[in-house]
Amino acid sequence: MNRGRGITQCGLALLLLTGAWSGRVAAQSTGAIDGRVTDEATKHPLKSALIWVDGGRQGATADSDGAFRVRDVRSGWHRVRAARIGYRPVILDSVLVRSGETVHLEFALAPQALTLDSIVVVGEVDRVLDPLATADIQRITGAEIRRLPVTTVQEAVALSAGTVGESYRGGRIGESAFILDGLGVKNQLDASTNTLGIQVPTEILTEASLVTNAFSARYGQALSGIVNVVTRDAGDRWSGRVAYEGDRPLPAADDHGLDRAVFTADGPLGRGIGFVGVLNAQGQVDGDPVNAPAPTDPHDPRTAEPWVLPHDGAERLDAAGKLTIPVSTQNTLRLFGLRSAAQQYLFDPAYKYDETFAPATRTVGSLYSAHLQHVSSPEARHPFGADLRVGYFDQEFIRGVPTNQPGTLVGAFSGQTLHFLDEGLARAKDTTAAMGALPGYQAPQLSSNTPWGVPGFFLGGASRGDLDWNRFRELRLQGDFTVAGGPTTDFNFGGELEQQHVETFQRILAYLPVSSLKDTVPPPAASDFHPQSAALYGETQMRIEDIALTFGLRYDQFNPRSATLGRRFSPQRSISPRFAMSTVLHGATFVASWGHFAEAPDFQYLVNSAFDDTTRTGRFRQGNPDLGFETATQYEFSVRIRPTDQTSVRINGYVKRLDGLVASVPLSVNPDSSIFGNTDYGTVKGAELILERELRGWWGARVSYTLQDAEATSSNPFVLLNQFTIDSLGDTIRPARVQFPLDYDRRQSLTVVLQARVPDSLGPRLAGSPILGGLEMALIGRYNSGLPYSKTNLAGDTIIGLPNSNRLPSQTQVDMLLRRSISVFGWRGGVYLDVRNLLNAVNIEAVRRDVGTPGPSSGEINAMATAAYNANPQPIPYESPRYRAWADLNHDGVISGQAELMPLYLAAARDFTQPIFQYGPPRLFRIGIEFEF
Amino acid sequence: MRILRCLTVSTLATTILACDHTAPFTTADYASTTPLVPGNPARLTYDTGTDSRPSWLPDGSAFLYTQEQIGRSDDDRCLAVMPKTGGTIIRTICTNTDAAGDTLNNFESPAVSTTGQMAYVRTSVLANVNRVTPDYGALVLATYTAPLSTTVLEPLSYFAFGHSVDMVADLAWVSPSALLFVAEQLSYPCANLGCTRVDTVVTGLDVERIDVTSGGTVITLVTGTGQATSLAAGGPDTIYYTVAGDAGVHRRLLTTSADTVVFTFGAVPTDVTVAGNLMAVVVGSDLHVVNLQSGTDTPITMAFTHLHHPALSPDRHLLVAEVAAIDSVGAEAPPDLWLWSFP
Repeated sequence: MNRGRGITQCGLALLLLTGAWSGRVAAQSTGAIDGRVTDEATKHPLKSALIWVDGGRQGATADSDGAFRVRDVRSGWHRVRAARIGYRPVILDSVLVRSGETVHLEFALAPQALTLDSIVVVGEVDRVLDPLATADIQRITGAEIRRLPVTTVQEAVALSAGTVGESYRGGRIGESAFILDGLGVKNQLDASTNTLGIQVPTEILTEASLVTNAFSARYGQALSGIVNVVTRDAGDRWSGRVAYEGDRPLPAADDHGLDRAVFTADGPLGRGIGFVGVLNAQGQVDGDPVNAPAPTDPHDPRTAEPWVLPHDGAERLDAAGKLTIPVSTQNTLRLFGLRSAAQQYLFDPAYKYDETFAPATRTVGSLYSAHLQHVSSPEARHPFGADLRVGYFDQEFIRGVPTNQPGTLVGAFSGQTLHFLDEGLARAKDTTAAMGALPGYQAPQLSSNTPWGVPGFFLGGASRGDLDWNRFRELRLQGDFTVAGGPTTDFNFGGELEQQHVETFQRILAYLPVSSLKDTVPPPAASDFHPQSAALYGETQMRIEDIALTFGLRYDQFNPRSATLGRRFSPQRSISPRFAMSTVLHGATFVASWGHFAEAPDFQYLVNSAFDDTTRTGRFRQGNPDLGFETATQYEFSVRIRPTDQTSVRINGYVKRLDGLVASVPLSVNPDSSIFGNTDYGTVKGAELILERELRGWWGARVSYTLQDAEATSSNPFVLLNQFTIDSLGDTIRPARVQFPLDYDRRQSLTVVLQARVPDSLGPRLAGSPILGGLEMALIGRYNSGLPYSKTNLAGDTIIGLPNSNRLPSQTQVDMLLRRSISVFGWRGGVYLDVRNLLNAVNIEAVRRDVGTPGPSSGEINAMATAAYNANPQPIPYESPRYRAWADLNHDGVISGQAELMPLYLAAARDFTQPIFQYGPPRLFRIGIEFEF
Repeated sequence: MRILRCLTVSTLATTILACDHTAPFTTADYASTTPLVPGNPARLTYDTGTDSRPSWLPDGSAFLYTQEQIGRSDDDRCLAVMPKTGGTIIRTICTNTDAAGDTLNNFESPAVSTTGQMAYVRTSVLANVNRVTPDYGALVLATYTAPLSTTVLEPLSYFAFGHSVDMVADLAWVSPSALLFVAEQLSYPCANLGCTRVDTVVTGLDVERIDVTSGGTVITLVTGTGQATSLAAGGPDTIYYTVAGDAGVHRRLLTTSADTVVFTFGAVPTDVTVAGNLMAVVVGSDLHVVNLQSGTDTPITMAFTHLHHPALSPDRHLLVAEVAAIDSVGAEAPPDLWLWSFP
C-alpha cells in the first residue's frame, strides 16, 4: 500500500508527471476516429479536408499530412463524411465506434470540378489490429445480445474468456467495477457477497464489454476487470418493441414458471431531445431452478414433482429511462435513471414442509445520473473534450421473514413489495431495542408437517430468527477531460469524488434475548458511517508510426470515517501507475502492458457483524475500520492476428499478483473469534486464446479458451487464513505463507459461440414465403473444468489434505436460440425459442466436503437418524399430527419403538440431506414473441 | 388494420395467460378427522400421558383438553384442540420458549366464550424437581386466537369469603362478561410411609364469579353453593352444580338465586355437564346421561375403567370424557379421551 501526504499534493504531482506526455485515452463510453485523407489520383495528403461525424456535430480538420482525429465519439454506429473543395465528398456509412478504441479510416477523394453527390460506401474498420487498443476488451453489442441465448448483461459478459460467473481471471467476486456510460457504479458495501442491486436491461444497451488487462487509469475500484456498459441514445423517429417470453405452454417438467415482459420505446421529444425507456418485468415460480435428481421415496412429495421448488419464487422489475438533451452544438446533456426491484422467496430445506417461515429477500437499487458532454467543433484548432458526471446510487437489501405474501398478477409476478418482520427496527438500527427478543419472533419447532412425522431436522412454527438489513448510498462527482496534442496524441486527466453512506443491521436468533455469553446469542450488529473516496488520474497515449504507448497514473484515496470502534482512522491512499505499449509486426499487433490496481475493501469488513455459523468464523466478528487498499499488479502480453478478412486470433498471457486482500485472522485465543486484515496475497497466471470468425455471409463463430492458475493464502475473507506449514513429521508447527487454489481457480474453460442465418432464398417455400429462409440460430457451448474445494473430516472441522486440493467435476452446457421474423398485419416482429442447457446436462456445482459427493454417505445418514431418534424416542400416538398410519406397523394407534420409529428417522434424514442446490440449472425454455412498432 | 393488430395481440396474450404454470409440490395433509377405530364409543387419544378436562368450543366444532407432553423434557401439560369427530389434534397451545424449557407449565380447565374470550388456569413448577405445589398459578384471560397473550384475572392462591383458594376449576361462561368457577382448596397428605409420595386432595369450596369487564379483580360469591365440587353452565342465567355429600344435582338461576335439585342419584355425583336437555355426571366410576326433560337416566359403564370429566357438545349430540383404565390393584392409568354419540 502506498501512502501519500495529501490528495492535493499527489494530484499536482500526478498532473506534472503526466503533463510531460501528451496523448489521449478515450472515455470508456466513447471511442475515437482517426485516419488520413488523400488525393485518390496523386495519393498526396489533402490538407484542410473537413471530417464530419453524424452531420457535423463532431468532426476534425485534416492537417498538412492529411491526418485527422475525432475524439469522444460515442460508442455505436456513425456516418462519417470527408470533403474538400474540388473533390467529390465520400461518406462512410455505418462506421462502428467502440468504447475505448480508435477507428482508423482512410479517405481517398477524387478530384471533381463540379459539385456532385457524395459517394456513400459502407465501411467497417479492423478493430483487432488497431495498435492503439492496448486494452483486452471482449465486447458484445446490444444487437448481438438479442441474437444470442443470453438475457442479462452478466450472462453476456460471462461469454468472455477468463470469466467464472462474476469472477474474472481467477479473482474473487467483487474485484471488478461496473461502468455505466462512463460513470463508475459499485456496491462498495458488500460487492464480494452481494449483487450490485441494479440490472441494466439489455434492450437499452449499445454494447457491454469486459476489460481485463491494463485498463485505463481513469478507472479504479477494481483488481480483476471492468464491466463497461454503454447505453444507446434515442433514434430520429419513434420506435419501440414489446416482447413476452415464458415457459407456460410447456409440459410440467419444463415449466419453471417464467414470465418476462419487456417494453421499450425511443424517439424524439422535440427540440432535439431524445428519449429511451425500457421496462422489464419478470416473475419466476422457481427463481433458482436446479437439475437435482428426484428422490426415490414415494412419500417425499418431490419424488413425483421434482421440477419446481416451493417457496422459491422470484420477481423483478427494472425501469430505465434516458433523456438526451442537446444543450448547444458542442454540448449534450444526458440524464439517466434506473430503478431495479428484486425480491425472492428462498427455499430452505429445513422449512421444506413449513415454507411460510422460510426466509425471503428484497433488493432495491436506484441509479440516477447526469452527464454533460462537451466535444470540440470540427474546425477547432485545439480540440478539447470534457465529460462532467454526477451520479447517485442507492441500494437497499433486506433478508428476513416476510410478513405478507402478495397475491400474484401474472405467474409469480405480483408487482407488490414484500415486507419483513421488524423491518422498521432494522432500518432504525435500534441495537438497544434489539437486545431483547424481537417482537413477533418465536422459537422454531421441529416440524410435524413432514411426511415422516418424527421430530427431526425439519423446522416449523417460526423462522430461524435472522434479520439482515443494509443500505449503501453514494453520490459521485466525476470529471474527465481530453486535450488533443495533435492528430496522434491525446492527453486525458480527471478525477472523481464519492461521498458514501453505509448503514447495516444484523440480528440472529431474534426470538431470544442477547445472552451475556456472545457465543450463544450475539448482540445485534449495526453501523452507520459516511466514507469518502477520491481519485485523480492522468493518462496519455502516443502513436508514433505503428507504435502506441500508453502511460497512466492514478491516485486513489478512501477514508472510512467510521467511529464504530470509538476512534477515527486516517485515510488510506494508493498510487497506481499503468503502462502499455503496442505495435504491429508482420500483420500482427503485439501489446505489452503492466499495471498496478487498487480497490478499497468492502465496507462490510469495516464493521462488526453477527453470523449464525460457527463453522466459519464464529457468531460474531469484529470489523476493522483500519483496513487498507487491496492491490494487484498485472503483467500481460498479447498478440492479435487477422489471418483472413473475416477471422481473427487473439492470444493473451498474463501474471497477476494480488496483495493486501482481506482475510479473517484469529483474534485472541477464542477459536470462534476473528478480525479482518489485509493479510492475504496470491497469484493468478493464465493464457487466453480467442478465435473469431465475424458474422458475415450466413455464419460466424467465436471460440475462447482459457488456461489459468489462481492461488492465494485464503479463498475468501470469511475463511480463517490458512497460515500453517508442515514439518518433516507431518505436524503443523508454525504460521507460514502458503498459497492454495482460489475458489474460482477454474483451470480450463472453453466457450464456443456459433451464429448462423439461413439465407432468405434457401429452402422450401410455402405460398411464396420461405419456410427456413431468414431463420436465425445461435448456439453457445461451454466446457469448464471443475472448481476446487477442500475435503474435511466427517465432523467438518478438520481439513483433510491441503485446502482446495480437490476438484469438482467439469461442467458442460449448450444453449440455443432460434429466431424467426414474422409480420402480422404490417407489424414486424419475431418469434423465438431460447433453450438453456439444451442437452439437460446434470452439472454438479458443489459437493459435501466430507464425502466429495453431492449427497451424504449412508453412514452419515444413519448417524443423523440415530442421533435424532435418541433425542426423541417417544412414541407417536394416533391423535398426534406426527402420526403416520403407514408407519404404524402393528396398527395399535401408536408408532413406537425402534422398529417403527427408525425407518421414519432414516427417511427424514435422507430427505433433509438430499442434494438440491449442489446441482446447476436444468434445461430451461423461453418461448418468446415480439413486435416492433 | 389497426383493429386486426389489436385483436391479434389480445388473442395472443389471452392464449398465453390462459395456460397456468406448473405449481410447486405441496405438503400433503396427514391429519385425520376420524377416530382410529370407528364406533360408539370411540377412543380418541392413544398417548401414554394424561388427557384430561375436555371443554367444547361454543360452536361445537372442536374441543380443548389438557394433554401431557410425554416427549418434552419439561413434562408440560398443554392445551390441545381436537375436532369434534376426533382424529388429529389441530392445535396445541404451549409455551415454547427456551426459557420455559426447564419449567413444568400446566394449562388447565379451558373455557371459551361465545365472543372468543378464553379463560384457563396456568400453573408452573420451576425446575421440575421434587416439587409438589406450583410456584406460580393464576386464572388468566386471553383469546382463543391468541391464547398465550394473557392477562391475569386472579393470582392463585387468593383469600376470599373466609377461606384460602388454591385452585379454580370447571370454568364456565354464563355471559361474555361473567365467568364462574368452582373454588378449591388443595392439600398434599403423605401417600406412603416416609412421605416419599404425596396425594393431591382437592376440596371444593364454593362457586364464585368474576366479571372480566371490570378488570377481573372483583370476585363475588354465588351464595349457597358451599362445598360445590363441579359446575356447568346451563344458559345465560343458569348453572348446574354438584355438592360434596349431596346425591342431587342443583340448578341455580343466578338472577333470582332460585335453587332446585334437578336429579337425584343413588350416590354422590360429580363432574356435571349440561347441554340443552341432556345432563351427564359421574357417579362413582360410571357416567350417567340424564334427559332433563323426560327424567330418563342412561348409565354408561366401561369395564375396568373410571370415567371422569364428561363434556357435552353444545348441540348435545356428542360427549367426550376421560377414561382411565384400572389395574389389578385398583390404580388408575393416565386417562385417555373417548367419544360418545347421541341421536
